[in-house]
Amino acid sequence: MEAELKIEGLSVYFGKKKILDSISMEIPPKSITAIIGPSGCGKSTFIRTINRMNDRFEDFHAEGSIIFKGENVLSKDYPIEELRRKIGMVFQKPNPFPKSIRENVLFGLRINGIKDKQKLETILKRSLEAASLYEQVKDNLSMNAYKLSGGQQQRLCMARALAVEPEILLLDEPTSAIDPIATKQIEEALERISKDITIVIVTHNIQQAARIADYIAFFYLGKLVEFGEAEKMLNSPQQKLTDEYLTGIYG
Amino acid sequence: MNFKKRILKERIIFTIISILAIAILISIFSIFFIIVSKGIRVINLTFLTSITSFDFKGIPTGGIGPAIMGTFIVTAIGLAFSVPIGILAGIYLSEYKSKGHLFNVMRMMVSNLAGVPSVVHGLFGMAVFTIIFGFGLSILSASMTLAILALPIIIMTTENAMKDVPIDLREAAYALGAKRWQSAFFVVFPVAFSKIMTGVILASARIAGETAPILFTGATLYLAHYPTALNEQFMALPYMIYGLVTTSMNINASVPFAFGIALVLVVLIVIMNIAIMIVRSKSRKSLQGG
Amino acid sequence: MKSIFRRLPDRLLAMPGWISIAIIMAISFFLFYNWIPLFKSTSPFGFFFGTLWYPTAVPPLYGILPLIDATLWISTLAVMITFPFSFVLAIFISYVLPKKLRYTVKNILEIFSSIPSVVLGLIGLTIVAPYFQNVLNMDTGQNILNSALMLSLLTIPLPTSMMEDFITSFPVDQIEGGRALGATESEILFKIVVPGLKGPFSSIAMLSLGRIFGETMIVLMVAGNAAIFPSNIFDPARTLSATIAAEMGETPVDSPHFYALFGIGAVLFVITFVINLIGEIIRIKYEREMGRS
Repeated sequence: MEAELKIEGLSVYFGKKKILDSISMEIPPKSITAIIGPSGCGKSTFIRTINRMNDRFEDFHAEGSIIFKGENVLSKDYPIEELRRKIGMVFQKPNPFPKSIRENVLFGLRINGIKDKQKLETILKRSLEAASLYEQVKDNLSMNAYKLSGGQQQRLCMARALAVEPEILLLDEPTSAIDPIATKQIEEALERISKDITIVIVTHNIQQAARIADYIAFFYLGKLVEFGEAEKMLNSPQQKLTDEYLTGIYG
Repeated sequence: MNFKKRILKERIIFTIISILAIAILISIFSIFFIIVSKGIRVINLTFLTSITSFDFKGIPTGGIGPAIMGTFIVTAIGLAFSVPIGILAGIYLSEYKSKGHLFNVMRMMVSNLAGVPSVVHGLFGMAVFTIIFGFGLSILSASMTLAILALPIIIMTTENAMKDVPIDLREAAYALGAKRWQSAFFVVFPVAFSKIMTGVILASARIAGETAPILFTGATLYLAHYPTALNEQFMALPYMIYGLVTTSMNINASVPFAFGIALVLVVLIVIMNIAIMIVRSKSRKSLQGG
Repeated sequence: MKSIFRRLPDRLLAMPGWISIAIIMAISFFLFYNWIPLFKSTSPFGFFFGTLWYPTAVPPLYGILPLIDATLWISTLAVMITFPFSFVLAIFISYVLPKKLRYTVKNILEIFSSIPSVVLGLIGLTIVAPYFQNVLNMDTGQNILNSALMLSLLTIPLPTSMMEDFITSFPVDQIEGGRALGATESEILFKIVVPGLKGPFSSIAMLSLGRIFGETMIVLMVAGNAAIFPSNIFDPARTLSATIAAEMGETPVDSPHFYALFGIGAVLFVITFVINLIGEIIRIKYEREMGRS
C-alpha cells in the first residue's frame, strides 16, 4: 500500500527551541490517522508543518523531508498555494469568514478562478452534504455564517475545506470546542469522507481516536513514540510510554 | 486609622481631578456655545448660497457659496488622490509582514509624514505644484498639497484597521490555498472596511479645516464667482475666516460674518463625525451576527 | 518565469508604500533646495544666531533666534497646560465618569478634536484678546498666554482619548493583583497603571509636542505680530511657523526673503522630524518590551 505522505527525519525548531525531533512515519492513504499525545508535545506543530502554515513564523525552521506525490513539500521551490489546495486544514476554533454560507464554501473555488455557476452549485451541495450540514442550511445559504452555532460553523469550515477537493485533510483538534452531538456528527462525516480522502486528525481525546481512527500515532515531547493500526495499539501497545498514556497516567 | 487617612486621600485626589477635568469640559462646551450663538445670527439661505461681496465700507455682504463649494471641491480632489494610494499602502504595510528594516523605515516615514507641520506642507506644495509643476495658484495645487497631508492619516488608519482583523480568518484563507493578496483583498479588507471608511472621513474633516497648506497654493479672499476651473484660484471656508479677521478692510464688521463661516465649518465637521459614529455602530452589529 | 507573475500583485501593491518614503525625501529635498541660496547673501551664523528678524531692513536681516525663542515660549507654556490637563481628563473619563457618560464625553471630545485651528484662532482673537485687554488690563490681548491657552484647547482632546484608551485597556489581572493586596483605586492607578504605561504615554507626549511646535494658525492670529524676544507671557511673539504663514504671501519667488522662509520651514521640519523620531523609538521600545502578540 503506497503511503500518501512520507515523513522522513522531520525536526522542527522555533528559534533555538526544538519542538519536533526526527519524526519518521508513513501516513496510509484513504484512512483516518489520529495523532494523540499530551498537550504541548508538538502535535499541532506537526500537522501545521505538513501544509506549511508554520512558514509565517520568522523563527520557524524545519529539517528533514515530507514527501507527497514524489516531491518534498518542505523544499523552497514547492508552490505553497497548490500544496494547500491538495492538503486542506480544519482548525481547532471554527473560523468561518463573515460572509454567507455559500460564499464561505465557494471561497476556495473562486480564488482559483472557477466561475461556472453550475459547477459551483454542484460542489456547494456536495461539500455541505459531505460535512453533514446540507440538510440544516439548504434553505439559508445566503445567511451570514456567524449566525450558525459552533458545531455548525465547524462543519461549515469542513465543507469549505472539502470544496477544493483536497487529497488529504488535516484537522487540528476540531471538536475540542464543540458540543458532543455536533462532535458525533463531525466524526460520522469524517468516517464517510475517509473513503476518498486521507484524514490526519490531532486529538487529545483517546475515546475519539478509539472511535474513528484506523491508525494511531502517539507523540510525546516532540518525538514519535509509536505508530500502528488503531486496534492493535489501543489493546496491546508496544511501548511502555504508550501503555502508560493510554491507561490515563499522562494527558 | 491609617485606613481612614487613605480613604480621605482617595476622595481628595479624585475631587481635585474631577474639578480640573470639569473645568476643561466647560471650556470646551463654551467654545461650541460661542460658535453657535455668534454664528447662528448670520446664517440664512442667502448666506449659504450667495457669492461674497464687500460694500464700500468694507463690510462683507452676500454669502459664502463659493467658499463652501471651494472647500468641497478641494477636499474631494484631495481625497481622490490620497485615498486609493493610502488604502493600498496601508494594506501593504499590514498584510506583508516585516522582513527586516525596510518595513520599519517605511512605517516610520509614514508616521513622520503625519507629524509634518501643515505650513511646511504648504511650502512643499508651493515649491512643487505651483512652481515646478506649473499649476500656479489653483485648485489643483491646493488639492494635491492637501492630499499629501491626508495620505499618512489614511495609511495609518487603514493599517490599524487591517491589523485589528483576527488572524484566524487569514489562516483559514491561506489553508485554502489563497495567495497573500487574495487573502488581503477578499477576506481581511471587507472586514476592515468600515474602520477604513472611518479613517477616510477623519481625513476629510482634517483637510476641510486646514488653512496653512492652501495659503500659498491657491486660496483667495476675493472671488466674485463660483469656482469654474481647476487651474483657478478658489475660496475656502477656513481661509475666509482667517482673511476676514486679519486682512480685510473692515475687521470689526467682518467678525460676525466670520463666526457664521466658523459655524458652517463646525457643522460640516460634526456631520462627518456623526457619520463616523454611525458607520462604527453599524459595523459592530454586523460582525456580531445573530 | 512563472515566479515573476506570482510576485506581480505583491510588487504592485508595494508601490504605494514606497510613495511615503519618496514624499518625505522630496519634502526634505525641496526645503533645502530653496534654502541654500540664502547663504549667498546671509551667513549661516547670521541665520541661525542672528538676533534680528527684519526682512524689510536695508540690508535685510534674517536672524531666526527671536523666532525660535518665541516658539519655545509658546510651546513650553502650551505643553505645561496640555499635558497635565489631558492626563487629568483621561483619568476623569476612565475612573470617575459612570459608564453611560463615558461614551458621550468621548464622542464629544472626538468631535472637538476635529475643530480646525483657525476657528480656535478666531475665538482667541475676537473674544479672549479683548477680554485680556479690557478686563484684565494687559498691554495687549494678543500674546503668548492667549495663544498658549487656545493651543492647549486645540491639542488636549487627542492625547486625552489616547491615554484613556490605554488606561481602560490596561491588563485587568495586574489591577486585580493590586486590589487583592488592599490597594485603593488611586494607589492602583498611580502606582501600577501609570508606571506601566510610561512607554505609550511618553510617545503620546512626543506626538502632542510635535503638533504644538508645528501649529500655525492659532499663533498667527493670536500671538501678535512682533518678531522680538519676549520677556514674559504677556508679551506678543512670532513663532517660526507663523512667520512663514504671515510673510510668504507677499514675498517674491527666488528672493533672499523667499529662501529665508524656506529655511525656517527646513528648521521646523527637522525639529518636528526629530521629535517624531524620538516618539517612534519610544513606541517601538515599548512594544518590544510588551512582547509581540
